[in-house]
Order: sequence, then structure tokens, then C-alpha cells
Amino acid sequence: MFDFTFRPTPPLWAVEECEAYYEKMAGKGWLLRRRGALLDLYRRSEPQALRYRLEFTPVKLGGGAPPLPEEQLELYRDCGWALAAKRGEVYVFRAPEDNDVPEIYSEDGGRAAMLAGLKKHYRGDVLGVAVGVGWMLLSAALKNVNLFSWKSLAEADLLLASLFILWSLLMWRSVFGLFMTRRLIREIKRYGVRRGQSRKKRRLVHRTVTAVLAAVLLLCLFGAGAEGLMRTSSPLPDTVEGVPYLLGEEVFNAQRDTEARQVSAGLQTNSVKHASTLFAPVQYHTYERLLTDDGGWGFLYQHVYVTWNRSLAGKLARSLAEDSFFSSAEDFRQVDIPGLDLALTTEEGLELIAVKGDTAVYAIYSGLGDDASARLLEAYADLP
Amino acid sequence: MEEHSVPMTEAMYYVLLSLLRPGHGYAVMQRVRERSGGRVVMGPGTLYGVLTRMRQDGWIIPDADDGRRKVYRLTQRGRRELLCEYRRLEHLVEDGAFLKGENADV
Repeated sequence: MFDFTFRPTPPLWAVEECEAYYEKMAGKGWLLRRRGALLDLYRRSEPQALRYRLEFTPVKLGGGAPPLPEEQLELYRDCGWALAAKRGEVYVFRAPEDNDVPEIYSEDGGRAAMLAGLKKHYRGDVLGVAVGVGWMLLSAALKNVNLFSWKSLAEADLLLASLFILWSLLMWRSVFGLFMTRRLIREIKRYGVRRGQSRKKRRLVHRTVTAVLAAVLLLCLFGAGAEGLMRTSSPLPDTVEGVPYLLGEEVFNAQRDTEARQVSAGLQTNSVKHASTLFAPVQYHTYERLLTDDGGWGFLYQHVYVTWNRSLAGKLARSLAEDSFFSSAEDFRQVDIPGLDLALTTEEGLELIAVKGDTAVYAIYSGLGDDASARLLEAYADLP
Repeated sequence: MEEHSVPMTEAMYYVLLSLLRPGHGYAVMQRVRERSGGRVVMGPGTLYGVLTRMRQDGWIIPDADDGRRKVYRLTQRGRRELLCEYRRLEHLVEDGAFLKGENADV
């Protein structure tokens, strides 16, 4: 048998329960050796009746937690309290149960003041997560990306969703910890230290929400992996069948320009990218360049989103209009095209949006003739 | 009567009493227990907190380093605070002196 074992790290906010848990483990012959972020390490020993007490040093903003002064540790040692484990600002002391080793805090006020260190720990966590989320929102705003639009949701991969859920999980644990620590300090000041008090309900709430968020996070990470596998890029085929995008070559009876050319997005050749996200499980993003009769060339970009239903496709279409590359939502006007649920074009004739059933298309084109919008929209209507 | 700068707890009073002779933390704990006849048992966390606060307030100063431990002694201000507290407690006892001999259950 192993002479060591791992157990989940008890949450700090339930200080007394955490201490009682270490005492129970010592009674079973497992002495705490290392406190971890998620798991604690225990070493096999003889079953012992021990008392465990946690101590926190106040976290300094941006400077971590200073260690407990050597003088204080020496005083604890002199009194019979040995340092069992340490992690960051958390110190775990132990002393034999059946002798006259005094409690570390003989006055409740002292213990309440010490717990202020734990409160600062949770407050620092809340601040850290808030800064992370704020930074992300700010950088999105600076890039003029509306994170909460349907377009963003349709294009956001599950890795981004995982990041948000991870932040939610961290925020939940920190806010809950902060709330419970404040409550504990208030209780100690009002009623004194009450050991053996049951906090089962609170622990259940904490565990349930944490487990749900962790499960969603895992699902998202698996989904993100699957999305990554489904994301492919390939040359645009010569003929297509049963796909929700068009070939400009066929729509405009033009010859495809097969040379790689420098465009704003870099060196680009005719291509189709396949992607999948939660809101738009099937997506095609195509780029096609066509030679025109007058010796010039035109291009056609298509962003095709197959969503879950007609309603979502309609919402996505409006969001695509708002976030369109060249125009604003007001520049789009609706046109009636039989076979399409919604058709939007702009005066300049550079962009169009089409909705058919659960599929929304956003196309950008140029140099394909004055009637390019109408020809493209009719072709979309003819798609199966 | 001179007023205290801060309200004094039982722990503070006993620590000041114990530091009439310089001593380190553990010695202070033992002296408090002896002087109170075992009634007051100070925890090391409580004592360290009291010593830190008193040092910040200028009531005690580190006198010497006894190897791993700091030895503290009272300052003039600390001595004054202790005397004030003693007189205050004396007054409290004098004011309630008529209770002497009364039934303790009342």
C-alpha cells in the first residue's frame, strides 16, 4: 500500500470545518504534509489526536503575501504549535490534542482579525478575475467588436466560451468565499468561535454550483477540441452540390483567376474554410476571384452560417447587417426575392445578406457587374 | 485621572504587567499565566497581535535579540498607560466595594 494519499483541498472559507477535517484525517493515521490548490497530500503515520489551526497572512495588492515573521513562528513553536503545511498566505499549524498547548487565539477578536487576511485573499481573487474580464471587454471594444451580438456568438468558438466559463467559475468561488468569510468574521465577533457548527447547506450550494460550472467547462473544452478538428481550409472546388454556398464561376459564367494575389488579408487563393460553432454548427467561408470580360478581375467573399432554426438565422442576419464590413445597418434595404425569407442589399452593391430557412449568408463582392446583387440573391434562392 | 489613549483589554493589561521586567514573548506568556494564577492563558497568536500593536503605539520597544527571540521592555508611555489602567480598575473596585459580602447569586 502507498504511504501517501491525496484528498481534495477543503475550501478556506469553511475554516473550522477545514481544521476539523485535518484532525479527522490525523485520527485515521493520515498527517497533512502539503496543502495544494486542488489536492492535499497526506502521509501515513500512527493515528494521532491532533488539533489543527489555520492562519492567514494579509495579501498585499500586487505584492503577494508576505511570510509570517520568524518571531511569530518561533513563538508558536515555543507554545507547541508546529507548522504542518504552508501554501501562499495559508499556514496550517498542528499541536497534540491532550496537553496544555494553548489555543493560538485566546481572544475571539484576534481570530477575527486574522481572518481578515483570508478576506483580503478572496477580495484579491475577485479583483483579479474582474480585471481579466474587464481587459477582455475593453480590448473587444477597442477593436470595435460587439461581443454580445449574434454574429459574435455565431463566430465565437467554444474555446472562448470555455474562457468565460472558467472566469465565471473562478468568480463564483471567490465571491462565495468572500461572502462566507465576511459572515464568519461577523459571527465570531458576535458569538465567538463556534466549533462543530454544521455548514452542510452552504457547502452543498458551493459544491453544486462549482460542479455544474466545472462540468460545463469540461463540455466546452471537449466541444472546442471537436470544433478544432472540424475547422478545415481547402481549395475551392470546381463544382459543388448539396452545400449552401455558391461558386461565382457558375453564377456569373466567368473564368476563375487561379493566381495567388496580395489582398488586404494577405496572399490569398481561391479557398473555402469550413468551421463549426455552438450557434452555427455548419459554416463555410469562401473566397473566389474571377476574371472579367474587360480583362480585369472581381471577387466574391461568402460567409454562410447554418444555424439551429429560422428564428436564429433571422437574428443573425440583422446582426450581420449591424457589423457589416463597409456599411451600417441603416444602409441595407430589403428586397423581395421569391424563395428567400429575407434579402438585404446596399445602394453601393458591395454587400448583401440573405436568409433561407435556418441559413444566413453575408456576401461581399466587387467587379462582378451592376446586377451582381440580384444574380447572387436569385442563386441563393435556388439553392436547395 | 489621565485617560487611556485606547481601551485596554485584559490581555493588554497582563502583558504590560509582565513586561515590567524585560522578557521575550514566551516568557511573557508564562508570566501572565503565573501572575493570574492560571486564570488567564494567552494564545501565541493573541500575544503576538498585542505585542505588535503595543510596539506600534510606542508602549514597548525591542530591548535585545535573544537569539531567535526578541526581548521587549516597557517604555515610559507604556508604564504610564499601565498605571492609568491600574487606577481605573482600582476606582471601579472601590465604587463597587459595597457589594462585598453580598450574596454572589444576586
